[in-house]
Amino acid sequence: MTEKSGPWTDAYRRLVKNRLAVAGAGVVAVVTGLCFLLPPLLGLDPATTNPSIAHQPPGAGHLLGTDGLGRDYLARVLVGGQTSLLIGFAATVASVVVGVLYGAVSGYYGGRIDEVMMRFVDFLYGVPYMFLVILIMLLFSETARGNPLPVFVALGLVEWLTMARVVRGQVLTLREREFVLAARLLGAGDFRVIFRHILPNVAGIVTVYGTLTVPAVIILESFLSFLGLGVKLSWGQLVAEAVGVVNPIRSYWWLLLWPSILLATTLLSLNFLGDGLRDAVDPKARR
Amino acid sequence: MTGEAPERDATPLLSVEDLSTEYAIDGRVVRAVTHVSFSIGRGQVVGLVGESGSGKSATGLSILRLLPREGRIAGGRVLFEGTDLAKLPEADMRRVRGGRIAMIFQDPMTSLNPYLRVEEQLAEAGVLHLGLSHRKAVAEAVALLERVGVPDASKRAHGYPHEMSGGMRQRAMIAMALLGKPSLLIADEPTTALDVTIQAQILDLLRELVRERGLSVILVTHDLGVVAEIADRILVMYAGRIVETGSAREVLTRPFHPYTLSLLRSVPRLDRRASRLESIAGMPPRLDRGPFTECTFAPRCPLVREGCRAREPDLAPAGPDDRRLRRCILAPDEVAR
Repeated sequence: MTEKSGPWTDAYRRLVKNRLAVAGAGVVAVVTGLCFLLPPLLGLDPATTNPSIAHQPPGAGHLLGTDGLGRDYLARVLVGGQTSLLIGFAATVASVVVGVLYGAVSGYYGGRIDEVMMRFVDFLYGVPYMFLVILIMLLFSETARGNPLPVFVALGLVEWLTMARVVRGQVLTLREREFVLAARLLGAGDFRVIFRHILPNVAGIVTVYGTLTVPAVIILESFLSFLGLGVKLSWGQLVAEAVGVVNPIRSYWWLLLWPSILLATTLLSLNFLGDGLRDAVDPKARR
Repeated sequence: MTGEAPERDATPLLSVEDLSTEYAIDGRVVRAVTHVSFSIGRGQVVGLVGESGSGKSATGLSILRLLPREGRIAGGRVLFEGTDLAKLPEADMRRVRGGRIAMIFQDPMTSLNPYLRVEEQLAEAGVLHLGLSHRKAVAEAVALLERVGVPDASKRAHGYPHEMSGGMRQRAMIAMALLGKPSLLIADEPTTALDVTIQAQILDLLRELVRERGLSVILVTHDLGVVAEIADRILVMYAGRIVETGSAREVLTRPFHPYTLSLLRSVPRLDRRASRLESIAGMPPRLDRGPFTECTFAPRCPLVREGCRAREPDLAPAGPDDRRLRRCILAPDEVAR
């Protein structure tokens, strides 16, 4: 056996064979790169207004056109993308950290602890999340309008629940496996058993769900922005503004088109990547 | 093959006294281990024999206090090097596990974590118990892997468990158990999942380790052949009780309890022509229906008689000048073939 083989290298090998997933990863990387690198490199400013060039269609001076206040739309789309992606990834990381820890503790200790912890999750599931989110936004609104933090907190708070359930289910079966008993027989304590022996076995499925959480968060944020509960500048916000100025005489199509395309491609790519990861991590789950 | 048990030390390494273990299952109490007492000296190999559900594994797990959460030690003492493990605080117990007492079990396929490199699991005891750096512990693990006969040890150690064969994994498990330099090894069916040639190799390895390091071994098995190969003394368990003990040779050649006799008769033999393999009729008693008012083996016993139903016999010497114990009212001559 000369070829390297391990659970991670095997999964990676399966992943790179999946063209759709690789393309998805590429698109996400390119979009992320553009959003974060282009504005500083080209000195684009999403805030400079110039009423004399308001509502200019895409063309030479402003590649993607301008909006109603004459702001460069390329700059706005890219900086808006920064916010959307940032919130998507940050809320996902938060949900992964909280969900994995919560789920691991609940599943590992089981019994009464598990019962109480999971009923709390059920309770939070039961509360309409829009209600939760709006509540948090209102709490924060005075101090931090336009700040991404409350949105991020609100979304993280909703998304960790699924992660906790998934991890708890996995840990529940893993803790009965013999290698866990073997680790305890060697004198490993609970902390060590959970972090060193159980969590590596959950890493694959966490990566999959994490990857699928990013687009879920992004779309949720866009939705909130669309309702006017979002942050200052994001794709959802841009779409909302664009829809607001549509009228029977002039459509200002570019205002709607660019953020929508970016949003759709990013979400689709992330979902392809997540599906690819799922197949790579657990090839048996494939239909 | 193996000599008679040399009792090198006056005080035994481990002495289990009146150990009882219960499982609470669906509101019923199952007495998996009932008043079990035995001891093991340094460098001794004790075979714990019995059919499935006889309480032999539960005894092993009770010693290390790693019973499933439904289980608990209901009574008795587990004296190891003078300390009662049954009463030791959990933190101290963790130092015993893997450090002073190690355990390996039946299925080497599932005992190794598929997501960890072999060396990382093996090195753990070194880090936890010997205070070695990770690097040193890995070096130690590789040396041990070589010792237990894993070819190309450093490469194997760097790989994952799925790249090894069953025999190799059981060797790796043994190496893992030995790394913390334990003085007692509890081997729960260590060869059951392996094919016969590998089985012999693993037993040879265990025997060498006993000789080399003065390791004591409690060998839990249902395989009398394995016990005959390696054990100095035998404890035969039935329905959570010890029904017979004695030196391996004596018990296997001249059993004093009908259950031991039936077990021996149901081992397939090459030197005897038989059209059917003998088995023991009936089922072991349900252990949630105690206490018993008759001998627990009476319903299945081929030699059962009036007195067997009166009360459960005590574990008593077979004769006035006999050190062997058995739980039966019959005279030894009535049982022996």
